[in-house]
Amino acid sequence: MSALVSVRFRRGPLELDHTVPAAQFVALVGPNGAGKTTLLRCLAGLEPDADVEWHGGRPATFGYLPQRVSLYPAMSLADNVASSLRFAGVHRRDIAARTAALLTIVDIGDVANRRPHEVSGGQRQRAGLARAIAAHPAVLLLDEPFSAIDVTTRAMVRNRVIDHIRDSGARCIMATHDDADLAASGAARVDID
Amino acid sequence: MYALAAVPAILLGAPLLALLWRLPWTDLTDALTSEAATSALGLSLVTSVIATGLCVVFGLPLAWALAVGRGMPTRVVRAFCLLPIVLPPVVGGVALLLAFGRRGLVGQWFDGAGVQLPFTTAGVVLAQAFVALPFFVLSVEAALRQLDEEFAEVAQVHGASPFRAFTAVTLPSIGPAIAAGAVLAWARALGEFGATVTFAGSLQGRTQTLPLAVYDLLERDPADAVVLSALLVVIAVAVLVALRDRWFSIFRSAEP
Amino acid sequence: MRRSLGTLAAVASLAACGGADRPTVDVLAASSYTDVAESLEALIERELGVDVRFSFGSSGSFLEQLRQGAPASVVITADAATMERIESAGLVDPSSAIATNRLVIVTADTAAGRMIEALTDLASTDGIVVLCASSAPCGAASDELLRRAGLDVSPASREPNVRATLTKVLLGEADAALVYRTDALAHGGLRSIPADGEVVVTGRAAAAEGDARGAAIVALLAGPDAAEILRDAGFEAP
Repeated sequence: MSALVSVRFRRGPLELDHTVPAAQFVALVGPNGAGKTTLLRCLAGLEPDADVEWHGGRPATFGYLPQRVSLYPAMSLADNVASSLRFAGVHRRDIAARTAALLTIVDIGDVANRRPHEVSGGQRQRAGLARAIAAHPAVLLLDEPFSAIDVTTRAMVRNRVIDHIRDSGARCIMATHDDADLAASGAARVDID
Repeated sequence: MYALAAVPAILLGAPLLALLWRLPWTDLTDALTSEAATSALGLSLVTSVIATGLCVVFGLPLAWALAVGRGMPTRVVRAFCLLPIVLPPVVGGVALLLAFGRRGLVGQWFDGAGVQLPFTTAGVVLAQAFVALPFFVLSVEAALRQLDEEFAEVAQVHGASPFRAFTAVTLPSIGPAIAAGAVLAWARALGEFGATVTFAGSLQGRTQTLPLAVYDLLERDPADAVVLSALLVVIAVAVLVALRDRWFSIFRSAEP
Repeated sequence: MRRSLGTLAAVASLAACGGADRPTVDVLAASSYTDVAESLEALIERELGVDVRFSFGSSGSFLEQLRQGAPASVVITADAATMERIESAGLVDPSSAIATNRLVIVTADTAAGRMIEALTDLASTDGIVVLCASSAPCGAASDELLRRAGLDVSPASREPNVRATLTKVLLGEADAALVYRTDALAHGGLRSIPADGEVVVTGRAAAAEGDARGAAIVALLAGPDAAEILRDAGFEAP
C-alpha cells in the first residue's frame, strides 16, 4: 500500500520514525508511552520540531480528538461542536441544523446545553468526537476515541461514527488499544513500540 | 484557637461596625446630597470605571505576554508590573509626577504638546490605573498560566487562526479571572488616595474623588466624612455580595 | 525626615537608658512646626528635665485624635480657630498664643512662576496655582487673604496640607502657591514674595486638662526663650 505520511521525531528517549499507509482507516497500536499520542500531535502540526512529510501534499483540513478530549470549558457541548463549523467557515445559517445532526449521531442531544464539567467523561468524549468530525475534514486524528464511553453504548456510537467517516470519505488515523475499533473500521494496523 | 481567631476578626470587623455605629442616621440624606459628596461620588464612579477599562484593554495583552514569556526579560517586566502593589501609593504618586509631570521624563513632551496630566481628571484616571493595573494583570496572568494549552491547540487544528483561538476559546475560558481582576482593579481604583492626591491634587469636581473628599471632610465636618466612608463600605460590600454567586459558579465551570 | 530620624534616635536612647527616671512628655504639633521642633525640644528638655516626644499632624485632625484619647500633654495648633474648637470641647486647659505666621507666595522657576510679582498676579496668571484646602489652617488663611484683597483665584488643586502645597511648587508642577513664611524659609532655594494683607495665623499651645507638666511646657513655649527660637525660624511674636 502506498504511503500517506512519514514522521520522524525525537525528544529525549522517545524516537519516532513511522510511515502511515494511505488506507482510509489506520489504527496506531502499541503499549502506553510508545508515542501514539505524540505521533498524532506531530500529524496535527502541534510539534514544530517534527519532520512530517505528507506524500500527496499536506491536507487542508483536520479534525482532532485529543486523548484528554479538552472540550472548551466555557462553551456548552453544542457550542463545542458548532465551533468547528464556525472555524471551518460554514455559513451561519447552516450551523444550528448541522450541529443538531452531529449531536444525534453521538447521542448527546439531551445534554447538549450543558457545559463540559456538568456531564460524564463518556459524554465529553462523544462531544469531542462530534467536534472532530463536524466540518468534514480531510484527515481525522483520533486519540483513543471510544475508550471512555460506557460499554452499553460504545458499540453503537462507534458504528455510527465510523459509518459517518466512511460516508464522508475522510481519512481517519486513530490511536487505540481496542481490537473492536480495528474490527469495526477494518483499519490498517501500524505498530508503534 | 477560637480566641486567637477572634483577634484578627475583631481587627477587621470593629472598624466597620464603628463606622456604622457613628453614622448620623438622621443627617444621612443631607450628607449624601451635599455638593461635595455628589460631585466626589460622580467623579469617583467615572474615573474608576475608565481606569478599569484601561486596565482591561492594556492589561490583557500584558498578562498574556507575561504568561507566555520566558527568561530574564519577562521576570524583570513582571517585577515592574507588580511594584505598585507593594509601593506606598504616595511614592507611586511621586514617581508618576517624575514621569508624567510637566518636568517629568515623559511629561515634558506632553507639556510641549499642550497636554497636561497633573491636576486634571485624566491625571486621576492615570493614578488609579497605575495602582489598579497590577491587580488585573496578576489575576489574568495566573489564569492564563494555569490554562490548559490544549484548548487553543484543538481550535487551531480545527482551522482557527492563533488570534481567533485566543479570542474564541482562551478568553472565554479565563472569563472568571478577567471579571475578578476587573472587579479587584475597580475596587482598588475607587479607593485610591495617595497616588491621586500626590499626582492629581484635590479640587472639588475635577480631581477630588470620594476618598479625597472623606479626608477633606474629616477636618471640616467629621459626621459627613463618616457618611461618605460608610458609602464606600456599602459599595464594596455590594460588589462582593453581587458577585459572590456568579463568581463561584463561574469558577466551578472553569474546572476541566 | 530629619525630624523622624531625631525622634527615632530619641526613642532609641530612651530604650538604651532603660529605667531612666526622666519622664516622657508627648507633644502633638501642627506640621508647620516640624522644622522648629528640634530646637524647641532641646529647650524644653534642658529647662524642665523631661524627655519630649513630638508628633506632627494636621491641626484639623487633632480634635478627633484627642477625643479618641491620643496621649498628648501639649497640643500646638497652627491657628486659633482650630484651638478654639479643641478648647470648647473641654479637652484642654486655656491656651496661650506662642507665635504668629504669615502667608507668602512661593514661585517655581518656571516661565509663569517668574512672572509673578504680587498677590494680584495669582488671579491673572496663566500658570498653575495651588492652595491649601479650606479645611486646613493655611487654606482658611489663604481664603481670607484673597477675600480681603478681592481676588478670585482658580487653584488647580486644594492640597490637604501646607507641606503638600509646597511640594507641588518644589517639584515644578505648580507655578505658584500660598504657604507659610516659615515653610518658604525652610526651603531657601525657593523664590518667595510677601503677600500683602494683614492675615496672620496665630499658633496656640495648650496643655491637656489638669496636666501640670504640660502647663509648664506651654508656659515655656509662650516665654522669651522659645520666642527667640521661633523668630529664627521665621515666626513672629504674637
